[in-house]
Amino acid sequence: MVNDEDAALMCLVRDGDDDAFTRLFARWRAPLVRFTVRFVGDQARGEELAQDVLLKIYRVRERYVPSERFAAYLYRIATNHCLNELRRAEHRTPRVEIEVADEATVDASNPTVDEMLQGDRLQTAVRAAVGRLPPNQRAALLLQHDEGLAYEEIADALETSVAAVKSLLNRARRALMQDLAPLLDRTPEVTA
Amino acid sequence: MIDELLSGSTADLRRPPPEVLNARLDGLLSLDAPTPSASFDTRFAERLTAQRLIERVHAEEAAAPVLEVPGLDALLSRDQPTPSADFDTRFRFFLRRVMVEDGGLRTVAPEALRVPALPPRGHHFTTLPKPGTSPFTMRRVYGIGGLAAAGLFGLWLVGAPFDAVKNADAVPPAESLPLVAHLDLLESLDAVEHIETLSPSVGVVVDRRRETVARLDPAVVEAAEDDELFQLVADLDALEATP
Repeated sequence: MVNDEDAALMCLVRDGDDDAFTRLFARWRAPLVRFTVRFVGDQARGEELAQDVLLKIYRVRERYVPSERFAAYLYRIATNHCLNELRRAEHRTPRVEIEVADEATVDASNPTVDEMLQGDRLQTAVRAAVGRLPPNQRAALLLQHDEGLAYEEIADALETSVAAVKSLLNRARRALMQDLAPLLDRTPEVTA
Repeated sequence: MIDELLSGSTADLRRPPPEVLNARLDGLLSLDAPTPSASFDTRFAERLTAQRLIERVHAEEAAAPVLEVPGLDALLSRDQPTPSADFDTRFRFFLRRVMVEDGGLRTVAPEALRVPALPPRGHHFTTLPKPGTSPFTMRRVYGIGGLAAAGLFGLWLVGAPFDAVKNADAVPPAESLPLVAHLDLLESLDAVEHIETLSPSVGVVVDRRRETVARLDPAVVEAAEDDELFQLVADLDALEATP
């Protein structure tokens, strides 16, 4: 049993405490939406996925075993859900994601780089660049950067080894640096 | 930040060191932080309520006694699939291949690891010949063609007498010809209805035909442009003139 407040709350949910689930929902709704929206690159789809994940956790609450941090448990389900959704979406409309991403491609010779450095354009460019990463790299990057999961937890979520996670992260960062080079060269460090 | 960016000189455009780029990348990634929309909580509350309702219904169903359906178990037991004849063979090949792959042994010939193809199922395919033994060889095709030609020639030889016999049978007796002609006319005339019983007497038939035609408005008959009808009237007139 891990010493984790959220895991303890989830145990209460498992034992039939609906208020505990309300508290869990309030704590995790925003981080989960951030993860799923960034993963699939679409607000509506991402929110729907976040709800699916929360509902799934509620549905299988009786089988919950607090053997890891709740965050790792939650993001493992979320990652699998998002990957499945991407596979389904690819099957349905294979070009959609690419088309959306292409709109915001950052090119060093593109005269609109200055425009991109402003407000929403910058955010769109970053989201598009993340969206162009292969799903596994994207998942590893978001789980590490946004959600602060440890390598082991990411490896667990992606059902792979720690070494593979490090490799995925390196490749993801390298690809992003290449993709966002014009912005990175002109962007001072931003304190999050 | 944007002002800083836009006011940056060309000296700032030099490629910064990797650690700086890494820090900038982290900063860029942090810029995109989507948040739940205003309706997110409401929509989730609805879905959660629905889920709880479903669970309640399931719980009630689970609490109810199991429905007994007489004979259902026996029916379900009838379907008992068993491994096909080649199941063991195929599994042995699969197992051998997995063992070789897992053991890293590459000395085994590839054909020794190839899993035999599953034969097609169903009675339609069980009698398919093996490759190279097709029943449709060229010799057999020519033979069938020759037999068919000989048969057609034979039919042509004996066909004429048959036609003569058939036509002889088809010719009606001379005395019934007017009646036959009128029966044909009757069938072809749409205006005549409900003539259920035809008299064998030509005279009666002629009378009824004449009455029928007489009931028709001459203007309608003229406008009908029905060649068949005019032909019928003409035939009737000719028939009446016949002694």
